[in-house]
Amino acid sequence: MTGLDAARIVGVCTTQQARSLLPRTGFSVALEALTGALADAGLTVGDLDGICSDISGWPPGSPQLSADIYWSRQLGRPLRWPMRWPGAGVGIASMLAAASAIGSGLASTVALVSAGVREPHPGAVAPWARPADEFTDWTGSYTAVQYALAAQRYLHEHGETALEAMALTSATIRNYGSINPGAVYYHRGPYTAADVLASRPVASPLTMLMCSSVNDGGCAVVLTSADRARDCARSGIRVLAGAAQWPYPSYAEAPVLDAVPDAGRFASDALARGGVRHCDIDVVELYDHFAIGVLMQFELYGFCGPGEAADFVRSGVMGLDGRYPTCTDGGCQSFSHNGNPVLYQLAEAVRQLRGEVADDCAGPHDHRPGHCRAVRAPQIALAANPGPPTCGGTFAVLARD
Amino acid sequence: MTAPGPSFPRLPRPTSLSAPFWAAAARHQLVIQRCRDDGRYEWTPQQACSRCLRETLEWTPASGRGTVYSFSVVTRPAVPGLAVPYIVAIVELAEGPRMLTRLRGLDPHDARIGLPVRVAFEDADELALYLFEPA
Repeated sequence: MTGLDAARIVGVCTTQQARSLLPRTGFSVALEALTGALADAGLTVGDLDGICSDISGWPPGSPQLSADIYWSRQLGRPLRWPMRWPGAGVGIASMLAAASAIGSGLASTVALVSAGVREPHPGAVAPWARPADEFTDWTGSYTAVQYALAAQRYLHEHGETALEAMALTSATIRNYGSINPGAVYYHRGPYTAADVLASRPVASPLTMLMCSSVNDGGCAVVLTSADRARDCARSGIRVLAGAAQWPYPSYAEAPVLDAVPDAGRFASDALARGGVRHCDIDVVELYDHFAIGVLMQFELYGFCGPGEAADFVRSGVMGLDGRYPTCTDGGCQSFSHNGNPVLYQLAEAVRQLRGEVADDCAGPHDHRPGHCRAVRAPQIALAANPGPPTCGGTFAVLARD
Repeated sequence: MTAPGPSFPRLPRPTSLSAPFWAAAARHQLVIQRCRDDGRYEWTPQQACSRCLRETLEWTPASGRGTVYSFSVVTRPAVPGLAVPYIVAIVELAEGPRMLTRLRGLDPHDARIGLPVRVAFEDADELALYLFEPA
């Protein structure tokens, strides 16, 4: 057991995800997510003593560094746990920090909130995909190109047939989204790997359907102490393990595959500390920003050996009837990419563990691929956020209480 | 200042740390940092050597030779109106560091990993950009 185990995830909410939520503001969507997650938990705004948020256009004209101060003003009372860790963002790293704070008594109930609503930017790649670095931006290597560079090298080292495996990851993920009524691309599909390969080239070897969606939406996750969780609306979800590795600044350094020797060590150490074996894991919510990322994360998190991810994926592990159903909400590619989609993986993992996913089943979940996306009685889930394009990431392992 | 050409989305803004690199590039010379104590080369520019953590890095001329570590032929431009396709690459310099760059002087179909390349500068305003072409 780790110190994380004093906390429970007790509430999640995803708002409507759509190509555009205008004329709503990011803050409006954030409030909907926050109050929705609190209601899901059976808690109120008055229970909160910490909020970590990443909201487009808010606070106005201020760095995210001081967002918790603006939250105090908005709530009309000071938050007692200031979450001013800009490097941690609002995703799984902040969830681990919040769980630790709850475990050490610094906080009792914390909300994580992400919301993005953006003005249209016709013809251009999304604003968050344009690194401003002086050695990167002039080359025209926006985020998809960075992952394309990693993908091309991966094919060189591990065989060109890995490209079809990349396409298969996107087809599988998009087919989950196609039966998720909450997904931006609901009922868009099903796709085959061949469809993905045949879609419009973006940056070789990546095609359009191997890349994330660009859209608006919000999500919130609420944690409280294990003691308080007993009084919540639903049984809490435990945090068994987690870790982060970010070896170099994203989009400032070249995305090379060997930036770190033994890149997965941080994850295997954390899994061992938490007493988690891969054979215990029932569902996997990776960060599928680009298809190559899915292959690299299976290797990084030790589901297979280095260079083995293509064969691993081709064996069908990601499907609902596979060993590790993966990105079961449709991921960044079909469910939602709202600019900083780092809470959705937690929300989906929680919903799978609770048995509360929505899909195209007419009645109870029958666990048949094609219309059902509910994993059969899962006990343990792994959720991941991005790191730099290669050799890093952040993850957590969640479990039913 | 004139507008950047249609080949590049935005011109770099040098910092105090990178100014010597851009000044050398303007003279069409490729320089990278090298630790005077342990000989380690650094790219991108750092304040201190990443091996010994001493502030002993000195700008030193690089050979300008290298091989393609990876590349991508980009058909969807970073900004509207940018000329496509263009080839983004990671070049492994003879000195060791890998450098994000552009390739020029070859058909996109001829781009391949392992291709020997050499640096080639393109003037842009007060700066010069460091591209690579087949050696």
